Amino acid sequence: MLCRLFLLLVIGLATVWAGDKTFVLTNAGKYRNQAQFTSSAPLETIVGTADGFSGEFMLDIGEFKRASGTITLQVRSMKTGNSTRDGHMYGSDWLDANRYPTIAFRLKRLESPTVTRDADRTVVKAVAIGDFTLHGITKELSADVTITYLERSEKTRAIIEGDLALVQANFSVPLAEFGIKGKGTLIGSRVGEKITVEATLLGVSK
Amino acid sequence: MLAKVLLTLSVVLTLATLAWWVRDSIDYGKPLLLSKTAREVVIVEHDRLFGQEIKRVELQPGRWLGLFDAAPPFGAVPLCGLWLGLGALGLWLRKRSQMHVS
Repeated sequence: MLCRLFLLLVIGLATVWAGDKTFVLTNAGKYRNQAQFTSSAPLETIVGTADGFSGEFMLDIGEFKRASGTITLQVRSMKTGNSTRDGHMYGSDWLDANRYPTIAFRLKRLESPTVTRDADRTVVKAVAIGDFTLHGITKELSADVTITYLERSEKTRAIIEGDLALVQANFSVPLAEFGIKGKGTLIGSRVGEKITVEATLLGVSK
Repeated sequence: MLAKVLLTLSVVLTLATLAWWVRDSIDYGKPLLLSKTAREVVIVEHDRLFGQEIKRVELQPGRWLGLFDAAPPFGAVPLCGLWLGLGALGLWLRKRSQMHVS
């Protein structure tokens, strides 16, 4: 009797978790893990890029409500197109890359997912909730995400072996909340109080 | 003679530096407050596999003169300040030589 109950429990759990897939961030062909960040201030708009991403995430392919994982970015992979300014950005007045070499997002869940499926792909629009760690401070942050999931096929094999999940995320980071004060009065005049980020990430199933 | 050379150099270098900044700003696509060592090239393409528009940014290396860089490589304003300083020196030398003549 006990054995039968245990078996039922295992089968039940297996059914519930069967949709879970873990994806590892990978650069494949023209698909690069990259973020574009923009600072809009009255005196200057600064656009930069970052590409030092690593990490993995889990998605429940069935309903896309459960999700988890951690994405990490190397601070020194952030570039603004001005090497002197990049040096300042990594410095102790700003991101302090020596003390805090990485920025991390720990995904906790997806909220309000709307799922569209067709023959080739599944597209999910949702709000990703997670803990964002920047400058040694962790705060909960939400990001609008579009996840395009492709099961492995001949087409995906042309890029890389495995199921693919393309994640496109938009969010903004209020600098003051993460203890970034900048130098003098630059924040608010030449650097925006909030930095908007658009990220494109490619995950390949394990 | 030296005063005249300094004054001419001052005017020529100031105008050349401003022209250089204008040319680089036009080439870059916007007035540059700070110098640039790379230009962002934004590429947005509709990806047939994912059925989404995918945006990526490539940094094209180069050097474009800005206005206000106060550290090397200096921007146009500090450089023009230096050239105008040369001009001021020229004026001072000319005034001094005129005083000696009178």
